[in-house]
Amino acid sequence: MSEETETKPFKFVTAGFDARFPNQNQTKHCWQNYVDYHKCVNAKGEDFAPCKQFYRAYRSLCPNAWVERWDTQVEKGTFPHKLD
Amino acid sequence: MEGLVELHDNIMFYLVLILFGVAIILILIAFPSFKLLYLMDEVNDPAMSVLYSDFLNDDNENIEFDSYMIGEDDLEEGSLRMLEVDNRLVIPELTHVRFVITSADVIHAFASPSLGIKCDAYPGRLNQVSVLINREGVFYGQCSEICGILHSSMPIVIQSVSLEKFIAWLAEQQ
Repeated sequence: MSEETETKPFKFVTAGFDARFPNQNQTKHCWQNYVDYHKCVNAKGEDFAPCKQFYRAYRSLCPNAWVERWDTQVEKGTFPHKLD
Repeated sequence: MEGLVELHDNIMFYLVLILFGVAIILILIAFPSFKLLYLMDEVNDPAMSVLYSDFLNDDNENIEFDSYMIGEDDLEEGSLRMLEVDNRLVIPELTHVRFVITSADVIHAFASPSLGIKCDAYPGRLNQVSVLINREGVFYGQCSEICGILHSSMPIVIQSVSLEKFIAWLAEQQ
């Protein structure tokens, strides 16, 4: 075992505690972060770093199937919430 | 005072007095329990989230895999019938993990008695439970809801490993 592997320090990150959603039901937590991310991107642009916070939160909470469905709705303009 | 002295041999007076006294004590000790009950639901500062559902699709960002029961004919010697799965859910020990539980078709339930968790999985709803495993080991469970013909008793296998092994497993999955 002469092979030396370099381990970089890292941190596990996931959506943290949100005082708006203290309950077992996290459906709205996922939804709210998805909406907030798109509102943030529409207001500040794709490269605005703080928007990533919402992105990471909804990526770790929402099922991929939901996100895909919402993405197509956003593209078509049929997403049932204002995003601007 | 005259009135109170007259009440001394009135049984209704004592009955009402005792009932109110007991009621006040019960109300007072209820509130700390409410606080504990609500705190139990909160998941504070988890390190990772595991989304458990029966959705199927591919994505590069998250690690995603199916975990199916191993059929009776494919069982190796010593493994458990109706409990063993092809891909175990691997999580690191001593790490605060949040499970987000949902379903795509009918009501299921994510349960592992030895971890002390049981949570229903509803289509269109995300339920969370938190887990902190103190040791390495394999924890079995089954879907605890009569979820339908030919898919009752869906097995759940959670394997807790050391952080190094977990990172190696992560690298393997990508």
